Amino acid sequence: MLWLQQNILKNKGLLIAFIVVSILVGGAIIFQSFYIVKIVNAVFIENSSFASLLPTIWLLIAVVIARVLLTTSNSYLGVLLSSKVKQTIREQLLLKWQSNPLQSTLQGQSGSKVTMLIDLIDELESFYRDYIPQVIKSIIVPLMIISVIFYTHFYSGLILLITAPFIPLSYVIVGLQTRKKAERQLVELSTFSGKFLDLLQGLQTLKLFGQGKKQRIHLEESNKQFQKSTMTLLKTAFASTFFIEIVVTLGIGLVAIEIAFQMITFEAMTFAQAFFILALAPEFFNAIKDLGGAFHTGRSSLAAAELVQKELNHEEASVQWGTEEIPKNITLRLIDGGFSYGGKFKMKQLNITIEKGEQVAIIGPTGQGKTTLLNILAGVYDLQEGEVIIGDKRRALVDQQQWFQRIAYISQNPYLFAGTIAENIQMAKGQCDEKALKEALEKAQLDEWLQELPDGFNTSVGEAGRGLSGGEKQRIALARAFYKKPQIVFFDEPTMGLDLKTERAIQIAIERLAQQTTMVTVAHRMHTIYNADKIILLDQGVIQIMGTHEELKNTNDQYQQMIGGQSS
Amino acid sequence: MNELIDTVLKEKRAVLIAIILGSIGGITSVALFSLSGFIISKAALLPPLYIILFLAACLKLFGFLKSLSRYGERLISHEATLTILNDLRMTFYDQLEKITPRVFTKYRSGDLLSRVVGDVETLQNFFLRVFYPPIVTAIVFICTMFFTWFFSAWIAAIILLSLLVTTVVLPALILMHQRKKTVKILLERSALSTEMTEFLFGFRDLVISDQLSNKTNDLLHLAKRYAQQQQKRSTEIIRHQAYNTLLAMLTVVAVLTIGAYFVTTQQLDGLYLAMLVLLTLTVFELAIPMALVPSYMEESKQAMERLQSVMIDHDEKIDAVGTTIKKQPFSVSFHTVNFRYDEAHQMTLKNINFVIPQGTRATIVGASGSGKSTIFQLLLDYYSPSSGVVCVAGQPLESVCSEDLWSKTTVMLQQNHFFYGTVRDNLVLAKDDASDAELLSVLQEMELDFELDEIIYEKGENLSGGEKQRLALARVWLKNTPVWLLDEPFSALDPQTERRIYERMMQKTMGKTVVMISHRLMALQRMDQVLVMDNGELVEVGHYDDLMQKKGYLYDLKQLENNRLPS
Repeated sequence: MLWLQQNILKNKGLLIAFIVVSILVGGAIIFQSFYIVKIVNAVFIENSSFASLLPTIWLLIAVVIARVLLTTSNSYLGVLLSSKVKQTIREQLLLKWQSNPLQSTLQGQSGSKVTMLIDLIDELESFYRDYIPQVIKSIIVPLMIISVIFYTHFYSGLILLITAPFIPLSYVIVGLQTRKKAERQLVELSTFSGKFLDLLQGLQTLKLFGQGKKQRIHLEESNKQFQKSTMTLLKTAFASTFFIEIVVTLGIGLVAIEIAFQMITFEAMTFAQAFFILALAPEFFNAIKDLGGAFHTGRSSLAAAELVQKELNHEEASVQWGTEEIPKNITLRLIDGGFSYGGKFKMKQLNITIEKGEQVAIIGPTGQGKTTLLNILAGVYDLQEGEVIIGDKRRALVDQQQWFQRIAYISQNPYLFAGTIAENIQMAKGQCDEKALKEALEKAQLDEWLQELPDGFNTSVGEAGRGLSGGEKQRIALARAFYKKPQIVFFDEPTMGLDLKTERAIQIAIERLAQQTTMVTVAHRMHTIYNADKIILLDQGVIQIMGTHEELKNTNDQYQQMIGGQSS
Repeated sequence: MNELIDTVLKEKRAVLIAIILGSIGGITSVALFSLSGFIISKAALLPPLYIILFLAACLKLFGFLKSLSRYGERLISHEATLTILNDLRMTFYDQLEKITPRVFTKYRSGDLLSRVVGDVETLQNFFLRVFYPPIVTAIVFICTMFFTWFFSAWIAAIILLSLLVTTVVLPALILMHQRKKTVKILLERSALSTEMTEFLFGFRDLVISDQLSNKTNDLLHLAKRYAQQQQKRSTEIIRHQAYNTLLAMLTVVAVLTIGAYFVTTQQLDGLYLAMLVLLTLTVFELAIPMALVPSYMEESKQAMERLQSVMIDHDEKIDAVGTTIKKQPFSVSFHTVNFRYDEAHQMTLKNINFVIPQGTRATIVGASGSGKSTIFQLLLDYYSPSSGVVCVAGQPLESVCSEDLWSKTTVMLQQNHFFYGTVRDNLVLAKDDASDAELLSVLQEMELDFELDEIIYEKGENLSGGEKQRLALARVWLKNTPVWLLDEPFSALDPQTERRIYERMMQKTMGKTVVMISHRLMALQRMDQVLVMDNGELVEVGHYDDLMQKKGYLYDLKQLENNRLPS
């Protein structure tokens, strides 16, 4: 709540505008009733001529128009405020996510982040658009009306003043009663929808096991159950509305009778006064009633706000960078490195030196930190303990941009952006160095494949474009690396089967790339391992041993086991 | 749309009651305010007190009646709506059940399905806001008009005219205007969501390519455009509401002016003027929500169309029709089969010929994307070949009853669905009458340390890849028909476990027809046949030893695998 209010207080001007407009709306309501009454009174009681009424009629029209305009501008202000706040929060979220370290971006469910950015923030809209203006209006307008009524006739005002609190009171009582129920109902609703969805998605499985019709019974049952519990809740809600309506009718009825008595028995009241009060009474109650509806929308906004706030407040350490030049000679060193995702798995005592031009292979069982180590070395994750040294400088001191300009990273599943192949290789939109591009494509063994495509390297790929196979994506990522001419390449070798041709093409391309650069590979191919200058065997987050194939093949049991297991 | 009306009309009684109660509610609320206007006018003439008391009693009665009928109307209409939604869900399930699994070859994404779930939810507005409220409003208006006519034809005419403008002319104009706008908002929204997804999925590549801040700026820009579109729409809605209110208020002023004029010309008794003014005020309060009817209608229509679009075009083959398969276990064969997916520009399967005789076992190997899984899709009759014939037990599949085929085949696909529920729930799908002891022994065979009452989340989200695979295998073990089709059944298992379970499978499938897809070239010697796929073609068929001796494609694949660390 606090947070949402803070956001309003930042827009004080708008808040004051809301108050001013609400006061004007209250005035318009009062004057509208006043003029209507004046006209009826003139012809009914005073027998005035029609011509003498004309100025009042014009005034009435003016007030009506003013009332509509004011109400409209109140809503406009609300929309303006909500747009502004939404945009601010979206900005905050995006900037937060931009500075997030990679591990949290990769771990979080991207679907829920997209939902947060779009739908959850949209949920906030009603808070600013409906709730806030309504609250202000519901405080100011009834107060103005009841003051006028008190001024006109004290006892009528008293009746209204006594009956009015029953409306918020019944909201409170019913709200307390139904709130728990409503919350449970919401949970039930989502599990129910979930169940329906679950069944639909699993229909294929169900049919293969001949269970499609049987599950129907379960669905029908839970459907009925859900219907029943929804109705129970709705009944309470409707009962409260019923109660409120009775209160309102009673209030107005009481006022009407009291007025009539005053007029007939005591002759203490004129027709004009009576009609005026009677015209204002419903407006008085309506303004209070509307608050209830606004509360409802306000509550769903609050729930959304809480989630967004949680995300915004979630502190995460990102990779530390500085401003100094990257040294010319980029040897890469890890000193006493330690890393954990926060769970059981921990990497520690990582001590590695990677010289310029070296071929390094990281091997080890699945899930023992190979790709994590690659990410640490590449500068997308940061160590929690120890240091990363680039050349002779700590990584925390050097410039991030310069570093990323000098490296390439080929993941197992490289991401292609919506755009042409050429744009995906140079990783920027627009014009490119065609000669360099062609060379890169050729080196990545893509030239033959490109010739089959009607638009060559201008073919669209990614979200909206042509779907590519895993092997094709990797080769495009390779072409990216050739185009960039990096000093270090980080490569996560594919584990799963590519066809013979693609496999060979990638192998040739990698060998070419290795001739030009330092290369750190999470290796699955024997070939890569045999040719490595340094093999790093990782298990349980710790470097078990380091060395060349020649050094390790006869001395280390675990290494032998890993290599030996292949021919079975 | 007609289907929707049909569904609603199934609840005839509820519709009728809702209309009656709604009308009573509307008429009494109009009556309530008119009467109160009349009372004070009458009171001004100092009538005997009993008249006022009588009128005040009527007032109370109307008030109570109004609230009560509103209450009843809400209850009935919501109950009916829930029943209608219930019906819709069940109809949708039934229809989908009929065309599954074929439909899933077209709509694989859960995204579409979740949209469908939302669409059903959207349809609740149809009954509550589109279907009967206009009828109620019409009835209330007709009654009001008759009543007003009694006092002044002119005033009745004015009310009628502005009613038509409020409920017909304005909404029609708004609708025409809105249709274009909605599309724009949706476009901006999907652009934002697409870019955001790219931002997250491509985060690492963006960081490394130093494109992150560019992308963030793009996103900010898109977010702004989306918000602008939304703001535009919101202000438009506000504007429309303003038109509506203005129209209603001006009608009141018109009624008042003309009424006042008639009072001065003695054509109308001044006693009734306050009443008529209050009557107009109330009746237009009822009419204002009518302006939203068209947009709700449009929304419901779109939702219904989407629901139906899933179902259209899938009536080619009915699962329950066709001859049954007599032989057990049966043989499986492809005869010059070519196949192309609807949207694809290339053949996925090219000239495939093979026979897997009954009671023999075969493995299909090949790279990912070589067409292995497509062979299963054709075998299970999810798709029909573009040309050529697929046979089971020597019968072409076209003439075989699909449900019979599925009931006699034990299938494990790459994606196996697990439902939210217990381990037991998920296992007995495969065998209704399995005892707990039997389930536990199968779990043990799969080396799964589960309790039968352990909860599994939707899609098995609380299971690891290997656990999911073994749980799916447990279902296979339970179903255990004479023909097995397994697509990569061991891909997520570690080599040792794989070996043990493979061994159990070989024991269990002795004498059965088995077709297994595998990308690993493990223990192929024990299969009667190995089928090697490359790029949609069946490049080699034969016993493993013969193929290895031939030093053809399989030999090369094996060399490649040898040059890899076992994963």
